[in-house]
Parts: sequence; structure tokens; C-alpha cells
Amino acid sequence: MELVTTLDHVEAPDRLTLRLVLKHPYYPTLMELAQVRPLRFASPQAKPGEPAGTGPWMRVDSRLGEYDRFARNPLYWGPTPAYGEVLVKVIPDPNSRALALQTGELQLIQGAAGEITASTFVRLRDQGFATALSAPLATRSVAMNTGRGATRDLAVRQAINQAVNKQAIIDKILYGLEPRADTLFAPNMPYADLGLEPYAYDPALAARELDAAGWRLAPGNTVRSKGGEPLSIELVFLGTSALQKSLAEVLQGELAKAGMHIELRAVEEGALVRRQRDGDFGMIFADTWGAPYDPHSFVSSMRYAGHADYMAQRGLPIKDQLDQRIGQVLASTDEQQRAEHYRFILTTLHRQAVYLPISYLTAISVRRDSVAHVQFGRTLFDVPFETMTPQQEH
Amino acid sequence: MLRYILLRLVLLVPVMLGVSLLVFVLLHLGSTDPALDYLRLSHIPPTDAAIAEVRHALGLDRPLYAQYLSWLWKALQLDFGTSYLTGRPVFDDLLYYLPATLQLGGLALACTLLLSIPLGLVAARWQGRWPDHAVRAVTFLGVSMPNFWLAFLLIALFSLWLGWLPPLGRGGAGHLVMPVLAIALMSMSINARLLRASLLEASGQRHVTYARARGLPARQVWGSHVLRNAWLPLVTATGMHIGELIGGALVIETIFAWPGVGRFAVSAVLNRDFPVMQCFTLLLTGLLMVCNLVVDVCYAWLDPRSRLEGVSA
Repeated sequence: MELVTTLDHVEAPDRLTLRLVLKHPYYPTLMELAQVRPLRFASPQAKPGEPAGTGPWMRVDSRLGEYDRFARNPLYWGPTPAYGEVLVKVIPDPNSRALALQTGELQLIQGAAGEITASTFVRLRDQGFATALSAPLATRSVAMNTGRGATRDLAVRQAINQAVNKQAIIDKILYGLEPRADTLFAPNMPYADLGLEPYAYDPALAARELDAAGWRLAPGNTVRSKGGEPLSIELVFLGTSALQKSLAEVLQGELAKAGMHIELRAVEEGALVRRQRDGDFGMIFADTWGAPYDPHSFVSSMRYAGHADYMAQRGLPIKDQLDQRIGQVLASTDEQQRAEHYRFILTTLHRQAVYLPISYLTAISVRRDSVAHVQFGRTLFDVPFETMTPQQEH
Repeated sequence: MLRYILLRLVLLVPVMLGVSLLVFVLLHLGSTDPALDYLRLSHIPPTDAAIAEVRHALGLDRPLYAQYLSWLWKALQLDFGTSYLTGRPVFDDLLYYLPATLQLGGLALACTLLLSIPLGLVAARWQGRWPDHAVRAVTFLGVSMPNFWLAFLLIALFSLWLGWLPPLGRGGAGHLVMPVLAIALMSMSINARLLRASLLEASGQRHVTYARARGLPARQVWGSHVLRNAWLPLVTATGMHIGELIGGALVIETIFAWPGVGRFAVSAVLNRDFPVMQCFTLLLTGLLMVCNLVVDVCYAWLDPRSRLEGVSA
């Protein structure tokens, strides 16, 4: 949220006007003010820690670790929600969530795909529960380190993009629930519908390009090498994530077929952040942040050491120019100019094959028949309860 | 006896100090940086400036011994810091969640004792006959089945198919049945098998044969000569089960969305929430030591030989 550092001061000239004075133009200002956890401008009379807002619901009751109860906000400016109350329960285990839905303890599970596993989603769908998937909201991707090891070589990064059968991964591991990703951001994200040519799955082409770049497979060897350096890359993943482990193993198998040795490194979440920060990886799982942060906040972070993306990109010969364009796009007030800056940034990242986009993350929804008109919000975290209506369960 | 209890209570102090030091050092020797964990959990980008600021704010820029002494001094005043994840005082949170875990663990312990003793007695009394076979089959399943798997089977049976019990959460008595069963089954099975073996061993002793030869009624032989000796291994095992039951609660609370310390601690471990992990480990150590003390006192009461050894120690 760069608005915090961009904000110079705030004025309240009259009762109904709030004026934000920025140090320089910053186009995502309104978007950042509209986030789920926005920057708050509190009156001196406001009580710290007390929820405040203008949305359709008010929190009326909470039990730590058990539930939050929301009631209709009588002062809400929009249409009155059909439900009088929403009870959000804390259920940490994904399998327990599914069972709670099956028993009728819950009427709805909605949110990021991890709320329940992909196989559970398919099972519930097959059992007749109403299910839905949102449009792409973020990207599941792997960042490649352009400043270290074999991935310094553009040919290697491009070959990785060509040698992985993403559709097989989606079909076998993700149960076909996530659309295939060919670019860092889905075309439905702002400024991201650029018609970039995908790296098609073509292991033969990957092998030819590696040969041409000098990464050759010596007779009797299974791993390519160049000037005595074996084509070995360390892939860092979150050890507690069964999904990342499966994805890492498939990537290892796919790339082995092209003569690349992938060394899998499972780490804890804290260690993963440290490796991202220090650039201590060959490849690392690094999903985009999703709407409403994509593309502006995500792209903005690429300029700062401490982010995996900065560390992944630091070996690019045009990294300075890229960072400069990112600064320009955020300060740009001209729509056409902004689109042009984004075209440059996203095209460069795509052609330089800094990322291996795998699939687009979507929100999931599974509901009982007793709830109708379930819709998705604009982000992975929004659940528009106000549009839902009760109906007779079959 | 009083001297023995006092001695054991005094011994609590060095053990707690040792555990606190060990946990502190182990957590800080890990591959991760508490400052990075703090920033990650607070959703703040880990820039150099942010890390330096957090290190200073959390006192991580001081030597390790100074950090430990500072933590210890505060801990003695029951100030275990604030959780990186929730931002609330750790001790307050643990005290908030503790009653739910004690309820679950206490009932599981009661269930273990109430079920295992009759099962063990029945199996030993009718050794080699169908009640023995039935008990052995049930306890064989009990010791073999992981508690999380049993938990899901119970939910599927009693909530999904039969609709008799609520599947999760904390509320009335119905909410307790499945988590307590899932936690207690393994301890109950071990205890029942142990008691059976212990009873059979004791009933083969010479003094029992003499008691029978003296013409004592079977009830008196079992009550005064067999059971009295067979209890002892059960008391020791029960002491060990207390740790198992609390360990079981860590998993079971997550499955049943039970708002207890176990679930809170699992979340802290997964998120490397250092202050919570430190406080939880100490709390658990203290709890287990007190429970072991109670078990040892029971043992001493039941067996005068150990009482004398304890006093002489």
C-alpha cells in the first residue's frame, strides 16, 4: 500500500469533504482506499479498535476462535440484504469445513481455493452441491532467479516455460479447477490484456533451444551441462503445503525429461520468506497477490529488495529501466500513457521469461440449496453476502 | 509424604528454567528470523528498514543472553509478550483457551479410566473366552487407529449419516462426545490391555495361589490380592497418558474446531509465532509436571515401598 508513503497530509475543509494531498501523483489511490483492510482516516472522536464502516453488515458479537456474528447495518446506503444475520464460523481444518457443509452446520463455503481441497470440491460437486468458480483473481507462478545459477540464461528460462505440460498439471493435480496461465497476470486484470504470445508446450523446441545455447546432453548423461556447469536448479517450496510439494515433484519430472535437474528444497514459511528476500533460490513459488493488488501493487513491489520478484529480476540487463517504468506508471495520470508503460513492463517480463505461470487462482463457492444468488466478489477475500437470498432446501 | 511433595515442587523450578532456556535457544537457533516472521505475520514487506525497526522494537538486536534474561524477568511477572499473529497478550490468550482444553483433556482422562478398568477386568476374568476376544479386538483397533482418522470416521457416522451429534464447535454435551472419544480411545485401549496383562500376571503369583488354597472367596482373592498389585502399572501408564491426551488434543481440536489451547498452539507453530510457542511450552511443561507429581503421590500411596524410597531420596 504505497499510498501511505505517498500521502503528504490530509485536510477536512468541511463536514463532508476529505482532501488527500499527495507528494506526487499516484493513480491507485482510490483502489487502495477501497481495499478490504483500507487505510483509515479517523476523527479524533473515534474509538481506537472499534469497527467502523459504511458496508451492509455490522459485527454484533464475537467469540475468539469460534465465530463472528454480523447483523444488517440499518444505516446502509444500498439495498437491504435479504438475510438479517451472517454467522462466520472459525473452522481451521478444510476436511471439517466440508463435513460441516454436508451435515448442514454450514450453508456456504466461499473464498480462496484453499478453503477446501480441489478433490473435496469435485467430490461435493459430484454429490450434487451447487458449486462455482470465479474468474481468475491471481496467478499461481514460479519465479526464476535471473541473477544466479543456470536460470541466469534466458534460453534456460524460456526452455522451462516450454518444457512443462501445464495442462497435465491442471488436470491431474488441480482437478481441472484452475485455468491454464500463460502470462504473469490474467487478461481480465487491468492493463494486462496484451495478447502476449504464450510459450507453447513443446519439449522438442525446448531441447533444441537448450542445445543451441550450449546446454548439451553428453552421451550417457541425463543432465545437460555447459562448460562443465550442470543444468541444475534448486526449486524452493513450502514444505507444509501438500499442493506445492506435488507441483514441485511434477515440475521436477517434467524438466528432467528435458535434461534439467531440479533439486527440491522444502522449507518452512519463515525460511521461504527469508530465501525470497535474500534471493537464495533458483526457482521459487511466488503467486501474485491477486485483485485488487494486481497489477499495480505487485508491480510496485518489484522495485524493492526484500521481495522475491526484485531478487528474481535483478539479473536482467534492463532491470533499472524496468524499475524506472514502474515508477512512471504509478505516477502516470494519462490513461494511454499508463497502458503503454504496463505494456512495456509486462511484455519485458514475459519475453525475459522471469516467471513460469502455471494457472490462474480462482475463488470457489460450494453451497447448500438453502442459499441462492451467490456471487463472487472482486477479490479473493470479498464475499458479497448482501446479494444472497434464502430459499427452500430440496 | 509431605516432604516428598515439597521436594518435587521445589524441583519444578530448575526444570522450568531449563525448559525455558532450551526452548528459547532452539527457537532462536532455527533457520528463520523472528523479525522476518513478525513482518510476514503482520503483512508488512520485509524491507531492510522494516527488519531493522522490528529487531529494535522486539529487542532482537541485543545479545541472546540479554534477550533471554529480559524475557525471563517479564515471564516471572506473567508477561509473555504479545502474539505476532493476533497482537494480543499471549498469556491472556492461553488462559482464554485453556479451560476448553482442560475440559476436553479432563473428560478424555475420565473416559480412559472409566472404560479401560472394566474392560481390562472383564478380559482378565474371562481370559480366552469371548468377552476377552471382544475386548482385545476393540483395543487392538484402538491402539492401531490414528486419532485424526477416528475423528473423521466418528463425524461421518454420528453427524453425517445418523445426524445424532453436532459435527464441530463447542456447546452442549453433544459437542463433547466425539472429540473426547477420539482423544481417549488410544489411551483407553492401552490401559485396558495393560490392566488385563497385569491382572493375569498378578493372579499367577504365589501369594494368590496360597490365598486360594486358604479357601478365601474368589471376590476377596481378586480384590485384596490381585487387583491391589495390578493397579500399579496402570497408575504409571495413566501418568504417561496425560501427555498423550494433551498431544491428542492438539490435532483433535483442529478437526472439531474446538477453541482450545491445542488449536491455538498448532496455529502458532505453523506460523512460527515465537512468544506463543515459548509460553505454550512452559505451560505444558508445568501442567505435565504437576500431573506426574499427582501420579507419583498416588503411586506412593498405593505402594508403601516407593513411598519409603521417595522419602529417603
